[in-house]
Amino acid sequence: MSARTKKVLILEDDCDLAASYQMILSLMLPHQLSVLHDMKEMLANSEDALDCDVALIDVDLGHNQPTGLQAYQWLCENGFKGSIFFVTGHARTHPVVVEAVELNGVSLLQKPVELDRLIEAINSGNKNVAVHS
Amino acid sequence: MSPSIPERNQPMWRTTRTLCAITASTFLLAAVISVAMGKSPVEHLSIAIFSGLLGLAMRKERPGVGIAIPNFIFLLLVTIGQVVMWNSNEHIVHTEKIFEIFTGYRITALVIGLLAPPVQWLGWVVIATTGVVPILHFYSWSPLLRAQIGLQEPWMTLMYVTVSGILYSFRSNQLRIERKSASLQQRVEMLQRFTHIVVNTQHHINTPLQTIENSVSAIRKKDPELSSTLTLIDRSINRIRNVMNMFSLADTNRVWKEEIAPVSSEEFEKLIHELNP
Repeated sequence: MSARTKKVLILEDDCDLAASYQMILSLMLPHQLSVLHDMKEMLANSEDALDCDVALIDVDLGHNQPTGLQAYQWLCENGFKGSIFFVTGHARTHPVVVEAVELNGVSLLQKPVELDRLIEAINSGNKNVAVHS
Repeated sequence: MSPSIPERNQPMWRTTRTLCAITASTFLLAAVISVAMGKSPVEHLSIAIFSGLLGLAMRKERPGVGIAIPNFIFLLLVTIGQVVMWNSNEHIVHTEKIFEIFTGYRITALVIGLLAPPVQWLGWVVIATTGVVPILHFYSWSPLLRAQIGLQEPWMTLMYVTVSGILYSFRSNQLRIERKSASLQQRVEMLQRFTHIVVNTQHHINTPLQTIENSVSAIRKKDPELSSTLTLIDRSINRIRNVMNMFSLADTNRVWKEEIAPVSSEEFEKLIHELNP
């Protein structure tokens, strides 16, 4: 029986950044990537999203869009079993970031995250890996 | 926004106007009682008029002026007041009536100490005149008349003038502190607005920076020959990252005491230089 390839969900509204994540992570890691841009897209690909082992969720998914926190809640409510990391370019005083930090078992990665740290977080799949720059 | 100095002074001016009205009413009543008792009402009446005029002069609000009474009106009122008091003292001292001499000068001195405009030269000149005028007045009288008045004058009036000077000095210091604090408050508010913008727009810099960082790593992986060029980009990214970290000092969650927080552009420059040698 062959080992299942690790699946990584990337939920990022910035198309350029999402593409760059896809580019570098597919070069550096053997994992399967699922790059989505907003909640709507995630709902449309719910099966694929829920099947992931690690989720990198941007806290701010764009103006007038559900936040990363709502995406996190949806994942939790629908039986997501993997590790979840919030990624943000906002200051820690941003209201949504404050809420995200208060969540138990979720780590916050501050953009720009160094590649080594990002890979370490994905590979560890450990909710306790806290990376704050 | 914090209120401006004139706005913050409004309660003080309102209180002073009320005090003027109370003083005017009290002395008006005293003048009536004096008449009823067969005494001269001139002194009481003059103080009542003086207080009333001061109150009226402060009636009109002048936002942005800093003081409610224009300097020349103040000077005019003090001059009129002193002339009236000179005349009333002069008039009464030559009568057989019993009265407390220079009461008007004393009260005027105290009122001036409380109300004199914060223009230093004007305040001190006016206070000085409230000391000089009674002395001149006192020594303009014959030694016989001076002996009748008693030993306490003009020194008692001078003591009131000294107290008035202390009050004025205290007020001036308070005002100086208040102005300095208002100016600091303005700077703080400006800085808060700036840092608020910086903190709230950080993601517009951090997100593209992440894209650049990822792309540089991808290029390095694909083409190791470009490594030296990419190292330059890495260094530049690090410089921007450090600057953004410095800006995040504005983050209210960070404890400044534990941070190396620059307080001037020079210190900021120095720190950035140390982080990026």
